[in-house]
Amino acid sequence: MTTISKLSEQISRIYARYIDKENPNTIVDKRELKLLIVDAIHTILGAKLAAQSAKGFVDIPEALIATYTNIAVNNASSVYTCTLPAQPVASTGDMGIYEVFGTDELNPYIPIPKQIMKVMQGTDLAVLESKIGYFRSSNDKIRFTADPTVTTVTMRLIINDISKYSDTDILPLPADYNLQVIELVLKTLGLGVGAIQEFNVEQAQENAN
Amino acid sequence: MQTKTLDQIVRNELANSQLTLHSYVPFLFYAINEVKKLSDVFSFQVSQQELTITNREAPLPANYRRVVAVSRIEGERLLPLPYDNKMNTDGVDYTTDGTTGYVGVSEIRDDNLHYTINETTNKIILSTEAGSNKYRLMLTYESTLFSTTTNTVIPIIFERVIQTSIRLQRAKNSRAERGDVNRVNEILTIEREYSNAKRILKSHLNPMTWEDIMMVTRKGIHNSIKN
Repeated sequence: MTTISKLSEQISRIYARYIDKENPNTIVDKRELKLLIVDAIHTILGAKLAAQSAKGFVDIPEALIATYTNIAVNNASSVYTCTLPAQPVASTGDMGIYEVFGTDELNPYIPIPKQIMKVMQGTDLAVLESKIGYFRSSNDKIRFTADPTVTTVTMRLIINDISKYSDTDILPLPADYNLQVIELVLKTLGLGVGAIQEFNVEQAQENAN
Repeated sequence: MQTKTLDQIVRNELANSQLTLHSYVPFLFYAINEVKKLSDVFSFQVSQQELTITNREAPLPANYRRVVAVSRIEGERLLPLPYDNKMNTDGVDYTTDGTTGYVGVSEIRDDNLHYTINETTNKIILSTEAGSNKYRLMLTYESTLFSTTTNTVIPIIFERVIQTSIRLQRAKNSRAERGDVNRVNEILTIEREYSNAKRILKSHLNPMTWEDIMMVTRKGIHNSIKN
C-alpha cells in the first residue's frame, strides 16, 4: 500500500543518496516525479500485458482497472457511440478497454478488435451470435454494432488514472509493482541527467545505508 | 437431444484458455469454420413449415438453406415425396405435340407427386398433381446456421470437436514463437486430440443402435457354431 507522496519521497531519497551519500537532499522536483511514476506504472503494465499475450493468457491486476460509470451513449442516425473517459494503455486487440456493459455487469458487450471489424462485414461472423459488440472507431470513441438499448454504460479501462487520486490517497497499485516503479523512474532520471549511465537499485540501497 | 449454444462453447474455450472476451471474436470465427464443415454431413437448425401452394409452386421460407424433405401430410404422418431431378424448374408444363418417338415423360408424370427446387427463384416446384391444392405439404429444411436474432444451437456431441478445432486453429494461427519446436509439438498434440474427438463423434453418429450391434453379434456367433 503506497501513495504518490510516499513513492516520490522514496525515489528522491534514493536518488539523492546515490548522488551524494553525505548530503541526502530532495533534489528532484516531486511534480516531475509524480508524472514519471504514472508513466512508469503504464510502461510496466504494457510490458506485462505484452508478455502475457505472447504466452497466450491474460491476467490483469484489478488495481489497474479504472471504472467509469454513466458514460452517455450517443445516437446519431442509428450509429451508437460512446466517448472514452480516459486514454487506456495500448494493448493487443484493444484490450485497454477492458469491459463495457449496460445494466448487467455479468453480461458485457463483445469487444471486436478494430482491424477485424471491417474485414468481417458480410460474413457469418458479423452476426456475432446475436450479441451486441463494440469496436474502437477512433482514438477516443467506441461504436456499437447495434442499439445497446441503454442510455448510459459503464466502462472499465486498463489505466492507472492518477487524476483520481490525491498525493496522500492510497494508490491502487499491486504491491509487486512498487520496486519496479522506483527502479524504472530512477533509471529514467539517471539517463536524463546523463550522470548515471546504468542505475542499480542494490547499489543505491547500499549507499543509503 | 441435449444442446448448447455456439456462444456457450466459445465461452467455455475462452475460460479453458484463461482469456478474456477480447478473444471472443477470433474464437467464434474458428468455431463457425468448424460448424460449417460439420454442417456438410449433419443438419443443424432443422425447421418445418407447411407449404403455401399456389398452382404448382410454393415459396421457400426466407431462412431456407437446404432441403431435408418435402412430405405429404397424412394425418399424423409425414410421407416424403421423391425429389425429381428431371422436372423443369420453371413451373411450366410444356405440351408435348408429337406422340411418336420417345414418350417416357408422359408415362412417369402424374403417377405420383414429385418436387424439385428452383434456388434461383426460391421456389419449390411440384408435379402437376398438386395443381389443385389436393394435398397439404410440409417442408422440412435446414435454416440459416447463423442469424442476428437467434443463437446457433449445437447438439452436445459436437462440443468436443468444435472445442478442439478452436484450440487447433488458434495454435496454428498464433503469431507467438512461430517455428518454435515446442509449439510445433503442441500443435501435433492438439491435432491428435482433434482427430480423436472426430473419431468419437463418428461413433456417436453411427445409425446402428445397441440392439442392432447385439443382433449382428449374436447372429455372427450363432453362424459360427459348427456342431
